[in-house]
Amino acid sequence: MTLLTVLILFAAVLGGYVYCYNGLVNSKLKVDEGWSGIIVQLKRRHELIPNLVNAARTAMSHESGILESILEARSNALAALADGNHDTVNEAEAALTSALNGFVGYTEDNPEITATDNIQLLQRQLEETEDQIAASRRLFNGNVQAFNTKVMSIPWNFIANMKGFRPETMFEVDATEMVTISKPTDIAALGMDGDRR
Amino acid sequence: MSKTMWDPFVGEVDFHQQSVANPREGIEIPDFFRSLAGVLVLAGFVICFVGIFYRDALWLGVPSLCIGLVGLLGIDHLNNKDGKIRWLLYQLAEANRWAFEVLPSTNLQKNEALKRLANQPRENGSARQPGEIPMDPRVRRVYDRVGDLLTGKVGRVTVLDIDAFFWGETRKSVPFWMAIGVVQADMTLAAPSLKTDAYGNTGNQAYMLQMLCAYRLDRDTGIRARLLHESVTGESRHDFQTESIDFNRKFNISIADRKGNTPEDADAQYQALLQALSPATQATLIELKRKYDVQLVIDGDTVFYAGWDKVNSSDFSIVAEHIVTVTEAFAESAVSFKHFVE
Repeated sequence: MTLLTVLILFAAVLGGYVYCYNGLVNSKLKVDEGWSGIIVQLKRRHELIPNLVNAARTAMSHESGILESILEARSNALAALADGNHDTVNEAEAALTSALNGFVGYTEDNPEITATDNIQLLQRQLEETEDQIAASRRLFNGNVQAFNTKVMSIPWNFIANMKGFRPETMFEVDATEMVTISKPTDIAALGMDGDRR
Repeated sequence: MSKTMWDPFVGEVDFHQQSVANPREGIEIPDFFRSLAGVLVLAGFVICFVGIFYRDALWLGVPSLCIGLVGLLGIDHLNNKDGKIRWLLYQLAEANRWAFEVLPSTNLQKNEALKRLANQPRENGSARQPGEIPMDPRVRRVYDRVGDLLTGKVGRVTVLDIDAFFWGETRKSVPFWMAIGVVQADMTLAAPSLKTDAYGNTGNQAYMLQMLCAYRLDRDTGIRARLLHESVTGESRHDFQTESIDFNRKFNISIADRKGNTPEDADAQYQALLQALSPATQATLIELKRKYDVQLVIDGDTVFYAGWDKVNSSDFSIVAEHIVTVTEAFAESAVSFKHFVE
């Protein structure tokens, strides 16, 4: 009887360990997958920028500083991606967004620059990519939140400490990028704010 | 030349607005009696269940159930609820300038077309049971194509019992088709969050609007994907998984009617599904799941999108005041992720 009890307890502990460990591994994999999703979209943005700069160069010959700052921010962002550090990528991408915002602001004051179909198309593609980046970031942060909740709550935290799982950092956004992130909620304009269930 | 409206089943229909006569006022019964009848039905069910083990409990359970049901039906009849709902839907079509078709009563004595259908064999040739009420052919084709979005399922609040069809256009001129069913629900015993709606109304009586919207994409996805409610027991491990934990918890994703059985076919369809479920699509659908409890089917180049909303009031004038905003906002939300899927 005692042996049976010990066996049942052992099986329960082992089962619990396997369940918690697998849960942590799955959540961590989803965090990595979410990060890859962001990288895909960021790379797409990086690929669009040279075409946009080339297309705008003739029309903005007297304002080449804006275009040069975009190219410099892009090359820093590429280097940060190669480095792979989340914080560095975050900073470099924020700087790139800021440089692009400078370009958008300039074209709003000088609409003749975007008169060509080519630049309009590239700008539209860039806006779509910004939407996808913002969405990828939200999905990634959701995954990080789910993972961190597990890492910090009982009984997962015992296994997390044993196996060296540490809380992940969310991909933060600065105030200017919040404008882009809040874009898809068009229905809020119809007075549908807030959760109802 | 008459204006035509897009329809997911027959391609195009002429613009038409079926007229509905102004309903009789009916007799207003205080909400308390409806709540009481609802509680009696619920209590009757529980007591009848207990009656399986203690037969004497049936003496209490069966009368409670009967009185409750008769009370609910009687109150609705005296109040002319069905007539008022039809009128409400007609007013909605008029306000939004949508084409409109209301479904006739399922009462065989009042509906000659359905009565004729009842005397014919079923679609598959088998004989009908005595007293069987046939399904309206317009509803039948909806069930045949996207029955998953209409029928009852664990995790779903109510089934969609279609009252009317609408054809319209969104603010960005996207043509859509919509089916709406309206039910009155008693929230006396419901969770506190269900007693308040998004428009600031609070009360134990609510009108629930079950909506199914369809529109056409600018490309054929090449797949028939279903994004249904995830099981209440938790995330299924057998459906398709995206990169988002939150999205996987909210939706059970599957490809129906797969084309081909080779691993290459499966991979191609999986890629097509992932292309449709871009990060922006997923982020938008997570938000819409919270707002409308949505489910959807992406059938080639057509999106079918189902969800519900409610107005917490038994006062028809208040419901009429909000129903235009509710349905218009739902149609806008249905197309809010269209360009992300494309």
